[in-house]
Amino acid sequence: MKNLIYLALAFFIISAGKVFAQTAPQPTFESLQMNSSPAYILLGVEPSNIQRPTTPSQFVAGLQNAVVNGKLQPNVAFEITPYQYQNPKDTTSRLFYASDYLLNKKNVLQTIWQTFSISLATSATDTTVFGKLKPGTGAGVGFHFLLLDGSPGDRFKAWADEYLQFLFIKKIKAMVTNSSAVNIDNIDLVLDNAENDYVQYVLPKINFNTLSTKQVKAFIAAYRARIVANLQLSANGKDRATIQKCLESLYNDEKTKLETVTNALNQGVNPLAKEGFTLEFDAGQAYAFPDDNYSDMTLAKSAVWLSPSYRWDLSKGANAISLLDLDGVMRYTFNNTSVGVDVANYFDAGLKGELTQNKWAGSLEYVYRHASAIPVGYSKDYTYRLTAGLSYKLSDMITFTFNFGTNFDGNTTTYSDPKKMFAIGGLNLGFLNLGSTKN
Amino acid sequence: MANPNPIQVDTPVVLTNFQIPAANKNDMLTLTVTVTLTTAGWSYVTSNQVFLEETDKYPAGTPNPVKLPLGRGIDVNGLKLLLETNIVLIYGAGGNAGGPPIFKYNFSIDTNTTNISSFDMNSAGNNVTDFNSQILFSQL
Repeated sequence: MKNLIYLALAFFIISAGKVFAQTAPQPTFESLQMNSSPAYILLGVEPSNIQRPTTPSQFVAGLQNAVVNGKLQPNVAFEITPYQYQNPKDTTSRLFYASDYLLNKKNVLQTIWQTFSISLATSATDTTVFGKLKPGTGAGVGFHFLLLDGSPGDRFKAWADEYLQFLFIKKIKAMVTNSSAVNIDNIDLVLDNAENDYVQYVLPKINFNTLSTKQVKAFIAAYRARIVANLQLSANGKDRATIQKCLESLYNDEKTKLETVTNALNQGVNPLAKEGFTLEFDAGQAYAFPDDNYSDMTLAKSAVWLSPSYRWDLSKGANAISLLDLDGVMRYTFNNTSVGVDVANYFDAGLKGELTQNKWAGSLEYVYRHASAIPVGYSKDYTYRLTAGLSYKLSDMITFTFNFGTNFDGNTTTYSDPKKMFAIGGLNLGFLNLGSTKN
Repeated sequence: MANPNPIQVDTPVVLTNFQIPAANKNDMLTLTVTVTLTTAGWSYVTSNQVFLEETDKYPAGTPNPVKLPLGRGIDVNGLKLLLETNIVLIYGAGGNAGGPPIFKYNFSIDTNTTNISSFDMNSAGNNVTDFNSQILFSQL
């Protein structure tokens, strides 16, 4: 087992070598949570069964503890997002990359491609999770992608909306400022040109366009009407200096508004967190190596699942992070019955509520499991898992986690056992996170 | 003699003469804008308006122009160049209590092989900062 972990470590350090020396990305809340990886879930070593989908990183690796065959054992996992490798950002630049937080997607297919991630994890195999297979090493492989990726928070949207409007008035002002004409006979022509350039060149380069086409048209029409109305009030509405003065006044108004919303964005906590509905699709397979023999590799289980999630940002400008998440899962697991992993397949449906306050997070999770067949001699075809969890973020790299509750009774042959309590505490160590951050 | 610095911070442009050396009259002049922001945790959004007389030389505005062709020395002689750069600072981690950092803004006029003039200016410590320049090219 240890050898496999070392091998996995060496592999992903080498695979990340070309970006290893780049500037570390800016740490953010939730920056290194790996236990939502499909590879971990199928190995059955995750402390929590339902996780909120996150925006993927270029490369992320993590270490966590789990109880396997009654002993606390380390597990390692890593995840790679091909899109982030194909479209690496210049990490030496301080330019704001909104796509770190908000996907610059046009449709669902682009969302899928931009978030498609492949994960690999290893762990000692637990005889409860893997049934009659002898203890040894387990390896999980999986992928996941987002179908829906949420929406920007109120403060970011307020900032982005204002910035986009600011750029339009800035374009008009520059056009008039550098004109050598004494009079501008046709202000409508200037406004037409500004609108054309804005829609054709400026907006496509902005990767955080929070305005719909309808909203863009509406604010442009409002500005145009305001400019024309102001000029009609002046004694000489065609004089370039008069027009410039009018535009300077409008520009300064918008700049003041932009300074205000930017200040609110920078001073508020968790300013770039997404809110709203996210939906993730996951799939994976778990392989077992009984007695650590490579030649005995066995496909133990395969699964597909959907993870819907909704987030409310309760902080709303306060000085403390306060988030409420409601997450769900619907998963179907195909067990390899021929080798005795179980005698039935599983359908899981679960719900989890999580409240995050600054560095603390508390959660309550319930997962119902239905078996496709009832084993001989047993009467129940269901079980459930009820778990409470607490985590404390010591740093962006280290999170202390503690979970307790009742677990699934392992497999269908133990469904009728009394539910057993479990408690597990430990540190999740995220030791690499290259590329985009998570929020 | 060095060309005077035309950069105005958060105030309207002031038309400033810019002399092009005689040796560069047939060289293509280019414009490059650089922002040096070193304070950890901060990033910036940039927008540039570059007009040579009434011709928009950089309609998209972002990112900062690098070696943007303006024209040969003799072709731009007597023309006004407007460069208005707006920088907005973003503190991605949030919870900033110390105010925005000071950063350095620079623009340079070059040929393919030499620098004709380079101008620096520091920001004024706001979240939103304008660097406004307007120069009148004069070919020596």
